[in-house]
Amino acid sequence: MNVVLRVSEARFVRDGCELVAPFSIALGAGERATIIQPNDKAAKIAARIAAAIVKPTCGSVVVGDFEARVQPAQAKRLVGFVAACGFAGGTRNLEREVRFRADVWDLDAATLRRNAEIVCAALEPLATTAYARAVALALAPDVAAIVLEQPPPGIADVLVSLRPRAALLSTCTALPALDGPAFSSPVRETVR
Amino acid sequence: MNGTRATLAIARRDLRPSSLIAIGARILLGVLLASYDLEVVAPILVYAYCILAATAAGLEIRVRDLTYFTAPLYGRQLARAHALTATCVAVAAPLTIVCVAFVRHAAWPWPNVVATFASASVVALVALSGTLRQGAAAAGYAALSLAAGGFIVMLAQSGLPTYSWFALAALLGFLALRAFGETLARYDPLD
Repeated sequence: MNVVLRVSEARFVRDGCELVAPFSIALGAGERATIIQPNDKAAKIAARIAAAIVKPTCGSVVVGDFEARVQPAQAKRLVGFVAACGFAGGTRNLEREVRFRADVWDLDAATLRRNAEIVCAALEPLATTAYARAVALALAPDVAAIVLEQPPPGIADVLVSLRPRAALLSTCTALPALDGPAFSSPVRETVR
Repeated sequence: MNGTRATLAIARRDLRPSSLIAIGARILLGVLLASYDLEVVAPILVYAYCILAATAAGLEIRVRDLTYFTAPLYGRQLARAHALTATCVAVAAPLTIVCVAFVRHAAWPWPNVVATFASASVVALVALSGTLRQGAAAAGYAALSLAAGGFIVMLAQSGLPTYSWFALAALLGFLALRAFGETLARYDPLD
């Protein structure tokens, strides 16, 4: 199976302090995994490294055929990233945000709006409106990999049904089995 | 990828309601300054106001929004889009003053007009790099932008040929935009 998202020995150091210890993961289409980190900040940074938003101090991130450091724009196009804080805007702001994404991603706004509505409706019972909207925005373009920053429990199962071909990576700070499962089905865990 | 579509979308997003209020305030103050013929009586005050307004225009752009960093764009593309907004907002004040002066039959000499617009644009571009820094570094960029604007105006007033200080302004603007693009490309949004 072709690897969609590969993180190799990615480590993040800031001001001489190691915030994220080296971690590696490779996910093919339809696969999913959780990266467990010791604290919230490390979980946040690890998710952003995997989503090609933060550059690791050493190591590499490859999304599809694109190395995130060399071709960040192409790599980011293939990743849907959902921040833990969700989308803190009302319906009008969501509509504006969908139009913004349609322009920046160079896609059809009506298609994006329809995709976002489907995702919002599917997530309504499971997540807060803010989180559902953030997921809807991330999944509105056709992405090959989804990266969730500390998602609420049960979200991943819905996303798998919505985007069965996408690789799904999430980060958390505790073992899912011990503290409310991020995934209710078996997952590959990367424990440091 | 349609670069123009993305650039305009980012520029539109940069113009939040608070930015529009700030632009309105600058225009209003510009009208007041021009109404009292301050550009004739005390041009230094008008230049200082334009440079200060341009610095604020560069610093108030919210470039750290996470959405910008998740977008499939290179740092230079993001930088161009933010720079478009910053320079447009920065020239609001001088444009108002020049227009009001023109309407009141007291048109500025064209080198003064060019110097004001050039310095406002350069100041905004230099100040943009301050948006990605904090504390002393951000204050340093604000001071640098004020100094760059003051230097261009000073050269223009010193009687040097227009092409010489205009070329310097263009070079400074290019270097500032380039530096901002590099900073954006290297920036890691951790918050």
